[in-house]
Amino acid sequence: MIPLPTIASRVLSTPGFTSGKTLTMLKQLITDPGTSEDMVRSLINSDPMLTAVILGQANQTDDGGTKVSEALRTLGLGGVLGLTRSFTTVPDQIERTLGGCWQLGHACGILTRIIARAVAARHQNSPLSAIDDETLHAAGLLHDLGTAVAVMRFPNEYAAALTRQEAGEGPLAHLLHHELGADTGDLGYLLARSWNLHPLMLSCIRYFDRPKQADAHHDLVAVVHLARLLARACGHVAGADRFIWGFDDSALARLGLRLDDYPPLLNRFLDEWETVEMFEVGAK
Amino acid sequence: MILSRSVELPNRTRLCPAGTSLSEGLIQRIASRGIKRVYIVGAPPAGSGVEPWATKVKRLHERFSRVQNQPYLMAMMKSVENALARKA
Repeated sequence: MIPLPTIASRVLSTPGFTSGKTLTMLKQLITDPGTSEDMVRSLINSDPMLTAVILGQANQTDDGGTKVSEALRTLGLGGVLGLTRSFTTVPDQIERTLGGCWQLGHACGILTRIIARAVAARHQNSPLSAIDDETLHAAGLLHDLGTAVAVMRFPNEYAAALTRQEAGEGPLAHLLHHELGADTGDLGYLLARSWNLHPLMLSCIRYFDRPKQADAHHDLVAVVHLARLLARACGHVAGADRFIWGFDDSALARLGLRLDDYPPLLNRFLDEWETVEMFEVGAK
Repeated sequence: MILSRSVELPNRTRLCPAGTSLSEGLIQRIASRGIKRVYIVGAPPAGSGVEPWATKVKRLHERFSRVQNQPYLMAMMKSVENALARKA
């Protein structure tokens, strides 16, 4: 276990980080006069760390947005380019694990939107009806920021928790709490709050694994919980953290979804994911 | 190699139809438009990174191996397996 003040100081001093390939691609896109804002947004929307830093930076000057498109307008492409200069490129040995985190986040973003729209279509008074698609995507994309922080800043404790998970001791979040003294929800929340992310994002990041305890935005947190379960079921897992251990049935009850609702949701997700897999934004 | 599905951009613009024979030049032109993968007739070539169906199913069952006593999750796994089979 690491003392809480040490955990906090290590988390709060975390710089933005992502793969060198993504940073190069983003720089190329921004400096290419033929690039549309849509292309830049598509790339950012597939990378949780870029999204978090850009939303957070834009929130320094306004009252807390949740949309990457608005953040891009606030900062301008030049501002985004400046932000990427402060980014750290992840070391080769953890690039694969982080790639898994980013893919899980991206899949979760797509599923969060698909599930939320399905629930809102069935229950007209659902608070989910008032949330736009871009915000839904960002909520799913950012939910597991804490795992990336654990991998980068607490690699020994993360590895120890993974080993114990492989041995069948239980879910990773629980084991990480034993090893470190905080779970991925805590780590992600701490970082996201210090970066000025919107309260709606903070709830999803902190409570996605324990939606019953959510302090607000209960429906959205429940959607993210289910989106993560389905994304992982479809194979979008972060590195060796590959086992499904359970779910919170109160979240499913809140959304009013039944087993026979899953096939159309899954089919829609796999169709959209196929486009993501086939096409790479930024190639020329 | 022959395309088994047409190659399209995300905006559904079709670059080449199913049945097209892939030449080195065509592969480069497709790649230059940002297309990372295409569907070809037959099994994926070795080293292509595409998992065979049997491996996909094995990994799916492995992911759910710790919750075999939870009927709801096992039913969910079946839904996922069916959805993945539809795309295979």
